[in-house]
Amino acid sequence: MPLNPSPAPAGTVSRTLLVVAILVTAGVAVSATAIAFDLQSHSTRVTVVDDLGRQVDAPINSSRIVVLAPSVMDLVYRLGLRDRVVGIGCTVDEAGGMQDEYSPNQTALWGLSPSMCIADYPSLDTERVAFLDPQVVLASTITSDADVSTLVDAYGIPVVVLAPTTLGGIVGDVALLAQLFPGAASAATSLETLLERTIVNATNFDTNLSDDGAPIPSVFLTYGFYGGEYYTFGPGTFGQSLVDLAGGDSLSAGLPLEYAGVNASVILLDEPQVILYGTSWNDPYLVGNLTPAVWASSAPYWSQLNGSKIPIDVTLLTEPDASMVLALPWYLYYLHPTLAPYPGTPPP
Amino acid sequence: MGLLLALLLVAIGLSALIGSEWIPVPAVFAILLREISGGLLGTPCAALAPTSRECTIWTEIVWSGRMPSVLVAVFAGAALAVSGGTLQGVFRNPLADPFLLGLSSGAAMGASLLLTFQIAVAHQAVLLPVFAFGGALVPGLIIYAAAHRTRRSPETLVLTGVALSALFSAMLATFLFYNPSASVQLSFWLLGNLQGETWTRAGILGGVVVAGATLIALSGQELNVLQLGPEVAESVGVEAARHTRRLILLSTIITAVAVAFTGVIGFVGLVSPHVIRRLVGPDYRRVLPVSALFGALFLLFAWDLAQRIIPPVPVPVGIPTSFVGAPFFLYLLYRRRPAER
Amino acid sequence: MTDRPEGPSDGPEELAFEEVSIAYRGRPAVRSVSLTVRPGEVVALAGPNGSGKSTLIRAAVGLAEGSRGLVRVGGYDVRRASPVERARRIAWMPQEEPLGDNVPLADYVEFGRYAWIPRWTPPSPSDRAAVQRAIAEVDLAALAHRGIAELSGGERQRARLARALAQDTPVLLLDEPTAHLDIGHQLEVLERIRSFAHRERRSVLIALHDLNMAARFTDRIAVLSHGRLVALGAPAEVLSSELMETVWGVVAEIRRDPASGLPFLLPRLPHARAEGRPTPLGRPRVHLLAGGGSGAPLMRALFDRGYEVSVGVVPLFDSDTELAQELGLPVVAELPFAPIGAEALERLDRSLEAAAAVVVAPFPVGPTNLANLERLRSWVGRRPIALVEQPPGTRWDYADGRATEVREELLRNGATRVADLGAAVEWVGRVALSAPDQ
Repeated sequence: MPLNPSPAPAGTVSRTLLVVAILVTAGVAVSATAIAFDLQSHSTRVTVVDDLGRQVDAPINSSRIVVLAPSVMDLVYRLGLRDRVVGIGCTVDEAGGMQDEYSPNQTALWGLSPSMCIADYPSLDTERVAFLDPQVVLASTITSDADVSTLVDAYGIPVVVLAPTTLGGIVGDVALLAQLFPGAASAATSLETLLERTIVNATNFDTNLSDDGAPIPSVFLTYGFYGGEYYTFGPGTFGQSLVDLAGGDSLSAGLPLEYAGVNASVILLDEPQVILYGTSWNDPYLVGNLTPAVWASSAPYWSQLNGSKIPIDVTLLTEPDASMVLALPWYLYYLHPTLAPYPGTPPP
Repeated sequence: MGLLLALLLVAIGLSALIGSEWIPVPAVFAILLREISGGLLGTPCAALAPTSRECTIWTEIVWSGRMPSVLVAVFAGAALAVSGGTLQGVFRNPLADPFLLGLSSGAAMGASLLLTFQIAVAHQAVLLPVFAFGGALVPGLIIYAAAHRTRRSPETLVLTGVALSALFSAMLATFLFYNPSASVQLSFWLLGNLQGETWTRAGILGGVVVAGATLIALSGQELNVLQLGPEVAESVGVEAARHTRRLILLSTIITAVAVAFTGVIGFVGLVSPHVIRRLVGPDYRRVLPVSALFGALFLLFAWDLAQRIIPPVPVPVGIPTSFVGAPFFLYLLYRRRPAER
Repeated sequence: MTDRPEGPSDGPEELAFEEVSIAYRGRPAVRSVSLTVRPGEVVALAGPNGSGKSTLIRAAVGLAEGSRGLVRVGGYDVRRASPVERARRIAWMPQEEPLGDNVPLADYVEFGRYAWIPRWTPPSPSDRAAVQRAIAEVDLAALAHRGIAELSGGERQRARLARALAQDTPVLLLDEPTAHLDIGHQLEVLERIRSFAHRERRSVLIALHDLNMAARFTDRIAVLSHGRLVALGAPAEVLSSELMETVWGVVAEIRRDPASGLPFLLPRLPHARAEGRPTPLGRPRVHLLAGGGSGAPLMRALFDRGYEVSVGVVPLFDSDTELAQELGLPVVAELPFAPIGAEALERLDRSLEAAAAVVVAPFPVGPTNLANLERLRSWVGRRPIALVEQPPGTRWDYADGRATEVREELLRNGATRVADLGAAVEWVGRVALSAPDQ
């Protein structure tokens, strides 16, 4: 509340009066501000609608949060909320280290340690969550409904489920987090803008491509192999939409299932021009330690595949978060090396 | 029987100690005492824990987290034991278990319907038991209707159950083929899951099971007479067809409600009546109530074990029941008392 | 559930089947049978397998679907009754039942009290007393605490009977209550049932295969044949050779037990008719010389095969004589230890005259019965004679070798030597069939 300048006093008595008036006004102003502040902090909760359509009543700007999925952690980190995270979903192995549910990059970047682990396989250790006394839990669909309802119904801890189904949904999740953490509003806004711009750029590039009649490369996107089959992303998956946005023609577009195995000989016959393959670090959920060397030596027909083979960190393909979107320029570049600009950011 | 009841109450109390987080023993009992007595007995929170926040958390964990699961184990175990014993009597078949009539496949199919087609995802936690219950009732009611014709021999009814079971399993497999991710969720449910229960669920389960099991136990003498076959039963005054149908229906209901909340837990219903028969004899007026207590203890024990096998996360409770139940059952089969053949 | 009456039912009632017809799988199993069992009466229900005995009994217990006609106990139509009401009036002891669990015998018999004990109440002292009485009635009191699976087949059957008795009904239907029992228990059980029925004025219908038992222990016999009631009356009136042949297809003679005056049956083997082909004088007759028990097996064998048998000359009180008298065969007897007199020899001649064949059993020969063999010398050309070999190494000739001489003379003159009983019977078969008409 701005202070109105008080008029100049006439004489000593008027000067005392002036000082008193200034002090009184100052006091009123301060208390008014304080009261206003107090009123503001009484609305400490917000009701949001999460990605599953659930209405969740959660505190604003929670200082203790539990994050149960790497994809959510990505957003939380980018919004500068890492310090508030008291627990993450991971399993501690016998050696006392974290079982590798987070890539080494992620562990390093986000500063994760085994002491933060809350066991989540085969089901969530809800007692541990309760013990950590978080004010809100941010989960993905990795967490089962039973565990979510335990947290909500038995322990009364609000759970917000982030489960984007499209790239646009990822942007929406940023907005959702901004509702929960207004203190990070500006970071959220910048992130949203960045993501949207990345997507728009890619879309425009595609439009130009088709306008110019440039060739669209055939792309095969795979995140693992086993038993003579390659695992790929069928229609409706993020991987599919990434390839589409990158201006490629995915060989897996016509598959009947979302996550399917394709016989390796089929790939050989189809001769994709670009093969994007996911590299992992011994993720227990995927198919093992798939470094580029392992791909080269063990993947079926690998040496006979003629397309350009490009390794991609598998978390960028399987975890729907900001990193996934921000890798788009690289996909453009990989698919259209002559036409797309070289992205400045480090390669994924 | 009184001994078993006392044992059960003790076991319930001790089970409250088991969970993934360590809470001091005196605190646990004080919390139980306090909550059961509505705050009258037991030490107040401040004296138990370093901070009042911690005490609140401990109370939450023990009372809202652990106790409901313990009670669900008790009621589901009792339901399965009573149901298994009843069906063993009705069908005069010592290998009968609660799922003889295809209930497990029906429940699994109902659950998979929900999971595969992602129906009302937001309310899945509430709807899963409903769908499972409905699915379990389908084969049970079909057989109940078939039992209306007195000509249907027990063998025919059992085979009907087998056929329905196969049919539902095939439907289940078809659903899962179209959404493999649902199969992961379903597989844990199929092995039996006691985690994440709430007082509401425990209450519903308890109410239905206590009512149903009591009604069944009231027909103990009729079940005794039915062992001599429906003709002899009719000749001494027991309406064989009516009692058979009623027992099938009640058994179906309590099994279906147990399966709805806990998934398919094997061996409790098969083993408990046999153990009890060896202890108290073949009179169903005693076998059924005592089996209920034993089944409750058995499943509770299995749940406690399930939480300690790969701490801090519980394994599906069907795993310890099978690992304990199967060898025990084999032991029962092959150990013969001298008086029997 | 009606009020609980104190003790047994209202009193004696008759059981009546009125024009009862039952079709089983489309075929008529019982055709219009009317039968009344009066209070205090024991009626046997007899007939060959498949004649409808069990079906009729099951109809009374409500287990025969597709039955017409009326089944009543007193004035009460039991076909329309609820199982409990019917169970208070009719107790059924089935022929067989599934084994069930190994409950103690007392509990098993207590199942029979189901219709009297209100649900969820424990049995009263009078219920327990009824159970004890029933168990005592079948003489199983010592095994009251044994599990029924541990009893023998016969004991289980008596337990089944006890259950029916414990039901305390005015009418008892017993389906083959003696099927697995040894002879001692058979007699005992039937005797107890009879005295129980007479004493307590119960109406009892028993399906029995054993007609001799039926004759001894029942007041009337009802005979079913192909679902129809073909005879009903006191045993002496009902049992006849004609009935046996018509209904059972068995040739049997009806004799009278001298002690009791009751009829009993002596059935012949089914192929008796084939071998015993009647001649104008009746069936072929074989005369048997015997004594000292040597003739007994032969006597039975020939009798069973339908031959008329005459025996002689044998001393009185000899075991062969007793047997022959028991079988009702014509016997030429002489005083014991006395030499065979002229009158006896004359009668022997007459017997031999009437016989188609003669068989000499391996009896010990002494001075007193040597005349038997000697008499045969004059018959050796006129009738086929077979001499059964004496068992080797035994002494049989007590007549200083004269028996041996006569025997060998007979053999030289045409008598046949047969090695043993079987050969003798076979020889008779051949010879008797080809015997010239007399």
